Amino acid sequence: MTNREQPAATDNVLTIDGLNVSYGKVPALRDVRLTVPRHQITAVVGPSGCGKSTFLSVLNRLTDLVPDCRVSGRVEFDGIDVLSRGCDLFALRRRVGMVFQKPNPFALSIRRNMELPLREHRVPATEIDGIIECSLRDVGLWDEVKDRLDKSALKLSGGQQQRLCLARALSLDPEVLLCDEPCSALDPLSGEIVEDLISRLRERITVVIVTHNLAQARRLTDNVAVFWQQNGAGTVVEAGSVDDVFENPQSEIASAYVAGSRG
Amino acid sequence: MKPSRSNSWSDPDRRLELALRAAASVSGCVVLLIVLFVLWQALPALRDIGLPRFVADADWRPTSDTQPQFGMLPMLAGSGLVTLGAVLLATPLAVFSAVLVEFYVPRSVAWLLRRLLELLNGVPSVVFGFWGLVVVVPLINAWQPPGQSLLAGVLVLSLMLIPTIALSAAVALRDDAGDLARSAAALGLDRGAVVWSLAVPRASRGIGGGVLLGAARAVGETMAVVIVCGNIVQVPASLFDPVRTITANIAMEMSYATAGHRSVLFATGLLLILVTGFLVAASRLLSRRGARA
Ligand SMILES: Nc1ncnc2c1ncn2[C@@H]1O[C@H](COP(=O)(O)OP(=O)(O)OP(=O)(O)O)[C@@H](O)[C@H]1O
Ligand SMILES: [Mg+2]
Repeated sequence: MTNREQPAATDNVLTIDGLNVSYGKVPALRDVRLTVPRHQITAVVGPSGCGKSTFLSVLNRLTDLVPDCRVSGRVEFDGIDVLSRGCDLFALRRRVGMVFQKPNPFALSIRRNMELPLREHRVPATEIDGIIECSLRDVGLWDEVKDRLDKSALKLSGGQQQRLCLARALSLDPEVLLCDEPCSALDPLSGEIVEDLISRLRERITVVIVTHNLAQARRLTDNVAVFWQQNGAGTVVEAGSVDDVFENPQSEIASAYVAGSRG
Repeated sequence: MKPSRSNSWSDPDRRLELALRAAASVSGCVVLLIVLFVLWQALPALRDIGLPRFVADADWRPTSDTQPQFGMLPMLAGSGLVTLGAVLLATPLAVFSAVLVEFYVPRSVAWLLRRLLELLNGVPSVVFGFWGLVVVVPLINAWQPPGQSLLAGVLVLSLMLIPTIALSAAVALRDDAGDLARSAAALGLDRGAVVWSLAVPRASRGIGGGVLLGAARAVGETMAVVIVCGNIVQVPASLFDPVRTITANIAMEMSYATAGHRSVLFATGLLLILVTGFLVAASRLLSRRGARA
């Protein structure tokens, strides 16, 4: 019996089961099931409006900020029941970081952008400078900004801002990083840099990334979940490894959808 | 047939535009005429008495036949201190109310509070003055007579400034409250951090604009301070001393002022126009810059 309790070959960091989300009376997601394997990159793809962003914001409970948003079902993160009332959001959001589509640095200096979350999470003051440098190096921004740490973060280019946001999220040492179309608001070159950074993250953390770009999904990720609008609400119509979903899709919808990226 | 003219007059859009332009220029002209009139009336005083005597004269004895004195220092001090005190007291309270409205209370309560602030903003100042006279002044009198004092003016005026400053601050805070909350929540920051480390510093220019607007209102406020400040011409030695502001001075003396005295009052009116104009312009500039940043 003890053997059975060993972690399985693919150890899932997130398990989503029977997830329903609605905004007021309008359903956005219905009966979503998905598992997210640890230290891999999972792409969430699908047409506009099928609930990808909504799905992502359930995972760190950002849905709480939408007054009339109702969420039911089960989301398990490393044994924690994310949707339970007692879930410690402060801790959850430290362990599950997020990067948005639009770079969203605070209107503060670069240093304050990095410092503020670390301070709030009670990282000892003596460690903060080191962590800031290390995180900015991780995203290749250190050499570009080390002489202007006290200048406004809003003065950076879009790509630099997005890398700063990535560094800010990574500085809290999350176990999961949620990325909502992180490259789509950037110029192609900056997008490629960010994409590269994310692909290298898989050694350390689990990434769930929403993307409209199937080529990117194919290039970058290990697993794919195809979301689709069915009966007025989004749901997962196909999920699996990149190769399975792209080469051998089971559902008709998914095969039509991924056809564009093939060959 | 006058094709071109009838064309422009028959086009309702064009007619509306012309009417609006006319109305705008009329009101602009009226303001300009008032300022010019005040300047014209103030000119004799500025020419014959001169600015230096307004601060150098030891007394305010404008009606004396033998040796009129035009020392405005007590009134300048009165207006300055009442304004400063009211702004200092109202600003923190106003910012707290704005933060409360924008970040802490549920939407329906926030709506109610906003309407309340707007209502408070619209209450005529004579009502504030009357309330101050029946409620605030007796309280101060019981503590440190006579009651009508700098402190009474500061208290009543600060109450009038709270809605002015709070409404501006709320607008500045609202600018991107939603985005900010999301970005911050995703990093685990709580509401306190969002408000005090992010939203308030970010809105500081807009809040500053509101404070200057409040100061302009305070400098120009007349009725309430006439009622509660006691109107004695003296540089106050304490908060409990009665004071007279520039505005109160004009209001109280204009009915019997003649010749030189009258012109001096107009000169002080000109000063009020300049100060409030400057404050309003600075407020605009600050708020606009804040919105762009
Ligand atoms: N805050 C909200 N309030 C009400 N309805 C919302 C809200 N956010 C999203 N929705 C609705 O929920 C559905 C799913 O939206 P969502 O943003 O999750 O889709 P998406 O897949 O991310 O789309 P896109 O690819 O365009 O980003 C849409 O019908 C949308 O209108
Ligand atoms: Mg989206």
